[in-house]
Amino acid sequence: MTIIIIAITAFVIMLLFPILFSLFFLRKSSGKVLEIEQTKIRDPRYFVKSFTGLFDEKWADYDGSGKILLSREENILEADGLKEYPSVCQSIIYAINLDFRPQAGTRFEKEVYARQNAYLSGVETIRAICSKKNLVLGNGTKVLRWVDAEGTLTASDDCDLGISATSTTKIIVGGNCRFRRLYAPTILFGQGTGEVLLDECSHNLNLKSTPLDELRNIKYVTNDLADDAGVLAGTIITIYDITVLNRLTVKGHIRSHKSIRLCDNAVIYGNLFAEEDIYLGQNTRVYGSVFTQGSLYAESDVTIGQPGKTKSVIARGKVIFNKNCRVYGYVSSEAGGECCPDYNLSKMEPIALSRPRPHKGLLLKKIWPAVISIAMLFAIITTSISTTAILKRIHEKERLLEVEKAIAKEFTYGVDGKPDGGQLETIPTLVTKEHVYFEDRVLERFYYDPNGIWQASEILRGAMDSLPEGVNKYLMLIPTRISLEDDRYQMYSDDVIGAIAEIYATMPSEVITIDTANALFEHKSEYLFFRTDHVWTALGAYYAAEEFCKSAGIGMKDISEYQENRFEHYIGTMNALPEARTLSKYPDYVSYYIREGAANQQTITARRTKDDYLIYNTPTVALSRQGYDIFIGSYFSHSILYGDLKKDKTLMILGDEYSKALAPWLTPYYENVILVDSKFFYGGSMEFWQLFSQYKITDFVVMEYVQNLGNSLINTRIKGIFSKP
Amino acid sequence: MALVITVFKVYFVLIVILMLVYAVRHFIFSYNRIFGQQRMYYNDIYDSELPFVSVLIPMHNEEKVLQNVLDSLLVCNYEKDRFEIIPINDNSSDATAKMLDEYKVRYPIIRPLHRNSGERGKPASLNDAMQLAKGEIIVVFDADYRPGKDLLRQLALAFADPEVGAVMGRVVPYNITKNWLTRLLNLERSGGYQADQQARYNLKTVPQYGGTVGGFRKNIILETGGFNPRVLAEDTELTYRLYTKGWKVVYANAAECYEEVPETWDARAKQVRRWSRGHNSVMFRYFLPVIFSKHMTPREKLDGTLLLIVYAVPFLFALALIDSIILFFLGEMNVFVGWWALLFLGAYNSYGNFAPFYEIATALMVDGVKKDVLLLPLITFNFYFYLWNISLGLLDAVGDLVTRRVVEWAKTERFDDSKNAEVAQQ
Repeated sequence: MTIIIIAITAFVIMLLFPILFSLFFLRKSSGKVLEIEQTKIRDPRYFVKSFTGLFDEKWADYDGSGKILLSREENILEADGLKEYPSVCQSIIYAINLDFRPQAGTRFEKEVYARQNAYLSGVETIRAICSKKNLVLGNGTKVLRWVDAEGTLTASDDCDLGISATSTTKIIVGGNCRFRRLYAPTILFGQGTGEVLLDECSHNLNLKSTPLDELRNIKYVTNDLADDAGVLAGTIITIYDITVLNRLTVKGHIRSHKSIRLCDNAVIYGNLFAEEDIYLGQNTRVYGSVFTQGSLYAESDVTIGQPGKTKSVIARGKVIFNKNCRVYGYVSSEAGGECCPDYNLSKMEPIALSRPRPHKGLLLKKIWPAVISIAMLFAIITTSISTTAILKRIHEKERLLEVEKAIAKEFTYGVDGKPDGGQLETIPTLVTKEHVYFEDRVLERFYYDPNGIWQASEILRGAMDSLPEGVNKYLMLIPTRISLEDDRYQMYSDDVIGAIAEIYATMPSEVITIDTANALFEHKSEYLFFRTDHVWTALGAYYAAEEFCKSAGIGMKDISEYQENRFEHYIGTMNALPEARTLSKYPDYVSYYIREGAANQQTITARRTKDDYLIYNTPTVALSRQGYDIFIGSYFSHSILYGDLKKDKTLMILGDEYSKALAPWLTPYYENVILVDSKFFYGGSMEFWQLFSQYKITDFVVMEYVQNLGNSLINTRIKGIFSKP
Repeated sequence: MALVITVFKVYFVLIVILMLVYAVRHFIFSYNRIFGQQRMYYNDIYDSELPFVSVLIPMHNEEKVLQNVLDSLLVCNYEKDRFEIIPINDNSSDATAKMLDEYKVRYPIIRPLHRNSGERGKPASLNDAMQLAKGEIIVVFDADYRPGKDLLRQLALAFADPEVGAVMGRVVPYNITKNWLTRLLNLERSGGYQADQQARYNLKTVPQYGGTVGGFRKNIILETGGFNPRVLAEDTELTYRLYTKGWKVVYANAAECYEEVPETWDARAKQVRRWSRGHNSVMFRYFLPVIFSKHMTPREKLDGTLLLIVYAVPFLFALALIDSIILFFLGEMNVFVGWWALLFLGAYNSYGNFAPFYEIATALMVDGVKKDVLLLPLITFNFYFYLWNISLGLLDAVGDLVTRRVVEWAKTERFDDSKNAEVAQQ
C-alpha cells in the first residue's frame, strides 16, 4: 500500500511539475508582443538613403573638428582639399565640389560620399560609396557593402559590387563582375562604356492579372500551339520542365513547377515563375518579371523588362548574365550574381546552355541537421525497440503467471479431486515388481528381507554405540506410503510396520525410537506423501517432527504458527518411470512453511570430489523447484542450519532425503541443526567426528526410509562414518 | 461480445495510427522550418505595374476598432490610385455606419458598403462587396486588424505568379498580455503561422487561406458562384475550392499584421466551436473532391486531406480515449504488445493533433522568444478545452448536414482598448 501511495505521489508530482514551472513563469513574465515594424517599407536604395539622410542632417552642424557623430562618432575627411589619401583610410570621405579621384592602391574602410562624379581607379576595396552624379568603378574594385549613383554607375571588369548596387539612372556592369542586388531603371550587363546601347522600345502589353486562355501541363511551346505569326496567346501553367522554341512569342505568363527554357529569340510578354532553374537563350526577351527558386542563366542579348517600367529578376540561386543583357529594374540573387564569368568580351562566343538541371538544395551542405535527425531517429527507434522488448518480456512473464494460475485454478489434485491426494479408493492400473501404478500416483512396494533387516540393525546399533556418552540418541525410520493405505492395498507390500518394529527392538536401551509410522497413520487422509514422488511432504515431516519432539521432551510449536506457502505444479521422480504414463496430468504441489522471526539460514557444504568442496549459503527453506531441491537444497555433503535457541543444544541428523524436510521443523529448539547426508557425505569418519565435536552435538538422530534399509551403499557409508578414524 | 471488442480494438488501433500520421506530419513541418530550405516568397519583387486591389473589411458593430484598420491602410505605401478600401457595414447598430461615412467624406479612396438587410455574415458581405469592387485582386482584413505600411504591397505581389489564387499573411496577437489565455493563444498563433503555414509553403503542400490578412483573385470566386453564405469557414472553403480547380495558395510569412485574440474562455470556446463547425462542413463537401482532384499533386492531396479532417480528429480521439478506458476495464488492452508499442509511443508523444508542441517550440525559437517555451505545458489545458469544443463543433456540422438547417453567422467578441493598441504600435 505504501508503495502504491508513493508511486501515485511521484506520478502526480512528475505530472504537475512542468505545469507548476509554467505557472511560475506565467506569473513572473507578463509576455511581450512580437514586434512588427509597422512603418517599414522595402526600398532598393535603402542603404544610401539612410546614410545620406543621416549624414546631411549631421553635416549641417559640423564644426570642422574632423569628427562627426553619425550612429557613432566617426572621423571625417573633406576630399576637396586632399591630393592623397592614406593607403588605408579609416575616415568617412566627403567630396563636395570636386570629383572624387583617389590614388590607386587605397583601401577605404568607411563610407565615401561624393556630390560630384567619382572615379575609382586602382582602388582595392571600399566599404561603401555614393555619388550624386556619375560613378565609375575601375577594374577589380571591391565594394564591401553598397554603391549608389544618381547618375550612371559603371563597373569595369572584375568588380565586386557588394550587397547592393543602385542607381537612379543606369548601371553598366562589366565582365566578370559579381553582385547580390542591383537596382536601376536600366541595367546593362557585359557592355563596355563606349559601346552603343541596343535599341530600346516599350510596349503596352496590358496583360490581365487573371489569365483567361490558360494552358496546363505542357512541356513545349511549339509552332503547333502558336498562330501563323508564331504567337501563342495565353498563360501557361505546368508541372513539367517547359521549353519555348526559337522565335516564338507567348502573350501571357509562364509558370512551371520545374524549369523554364526559352530558346533563342523567344519573347514572353508576361512573367516567368519557376521552382527550378530558368534558362534564357540568345536574344530572348521577357517583358515581365522573372522569379525562380533555382538559378537564372541568361545568354547574350537577353532583355528583361522594358524602359520606363520596373521589373524584377529574383533568384534563390545564382544569376548569370552574358554579354549585352539588360534588365529594367531590379536584380536579386541569394547565391550571388555574375556577369560574363570567365569573360573575354571581344572574343566571347555564344555559350550553349546545358540542359536544365534541378537545383540542388542546401540541405546536405550543412551536415549537422542530418546528424541530429539521424541521432533522433536512432533514439526513437532504439527506445521503441527497447520498450517493445521490455513489454514483450513483461507480457511473457505475465502470460506464464496467468498459465500457472489457470493450471492451479482448474487443476484437480488426483483423480478423486482431493487436493491432498487423500486415501486411495481406486484400483491400480498396473502392478510391477517395484511399484503399484494408479492413474494419479505411484506407490513403492516393500519387500521384507531378513538379511537386510539384520544388516541394518547391526550397522545402526554399531553407530549408536559409537556415540559418546551423554548424547541423546534417536532412531527414526520412515514407512512407505502404501503402509498407510487401506488393507486392500497391503497385498502389494510386506509388513513395513513389523520390519520397523523389528529393528527398533534390536536397539540399545538408551536409543529412543520414534514411532513415525503411527504418527503418520493418525493423519493418513492428509497430504503426507507426494503422489508423484516417494518422499514425504513438509506436512508429513511435521507430524514426524512432532513425534520426535514428544519423545525428546520438547514442546513443539503448532503448525498454525507457520505461514504456509506453496509451489504449484510439481511433478516428482516417479514420473520418470516408463510405466507412469498418466502421472504428469496430476501434478503435486509443494508446500513450505515459514515462521515469522525465525532463523532461516543455512550453510550447505557439497563435497563433489575428495578435495572439491562447494560451500554456499541459502535459506533453510530453499525456494527451488527442482526435484529434491524443494526442501533445503539439493544433494549435499552436510549443512548447518542455524537455529533459534541460543543455548548449547545441538542436533545432528544423519539421514537421507527425508531428513531435509524434517530439519527445518526442528530449528526453533536448537542452536544448530547439523544435517549429514547418508548418501552424499564424502567426508569419512574423521570429518564426521570433527563436525560432531566442533558443534558439540547434544542430540543425535539417525533417520532412514524403510526402503533404504537394505541399501548397501547407505549401509557401507554409515559403517564407514562410524568406524574408528 | 467478442465482435464488439474486436471493433473497439480495431478502432483504437486505427486512431493510434492516425495520431501517428499527424505526429510525423508535425515533426516534418518542424524539421523543415528549422533545418530545411525555406522557399522564397515574392516580396523581393519590385514591379511598377501592381494590380488594382480592393480591400474589403467586413464590419458588424465595430465602432471600437474600425479607425485602427482604416488609418493604417490610409498610410500604406501602395500607390493610391491602385487600390480602394471598401468597409462593409453589415447591419451594424452602433456608430459604425456614421464613422464610415465620415471617413468617406475625408478620403475618396474609402467606399463604404452599407448592408442593412438581407443575409448577414461575412460570406454574404464579401459577395456583395465584390460586386462593387473595382480591383481584380481582393484583400480582406478583419476590422480589428492593423496592417503595416508595406503589407498590402507584399500581399499583392503574390499575384504576379499566374498560378496563385490566394495569398495568406501572418497574424500576430497584440493583446497577449491580458491573461494566460491570450498568452497561450499567442503560442498557438506562432506555431500555426511561423512553423506550420511556412512549412506547408516550403513543402508545397496546402498553406491555408485564413480569411483575413490575405487576398484572392476576384474573378475566380465570382466565376465559381461567390462565397457560400451557408458556410461558416469561407476561408477554408476558398482554399479547397482553389486547389481543386488548379490554383495555389501561398503564404507570406513577412506579411505580418496585428490582430486581437479572444480574452475570455467563453469567447474562445464559441470561436473554436464555430471554426470546427465550418471547417467540418467544408470537410463533408471537399473530402472526395480532394482525393479525386486532377489538379492536386499527391503531396497536396495527402496534406490537404489531413488538413481537411483536422477538426474531426479531436472527436475521434476523444472516442478513442473512451474506447481505451473500456478496453482497459474489460482486460482487453493486450493490443499494447509487440511492435504496436511503436504506434503507442508515437501517438502518446505527439500528444494529440491540435497543439503539436514541437511546432510551437520551433516557432518560438524562430521568432526569438525562446523563454515562452516554458509555457508549453499549459497548452495541455487548451488541448482538452479544444477537444471538447471542437467535438461540439463537429456535432453541429453533422447536425447541419442531416437537418439542412440554416447556419447563422456569429461574430467573435471584440475586446479592444487603447492600451492594447499602444502596445502594438510600440
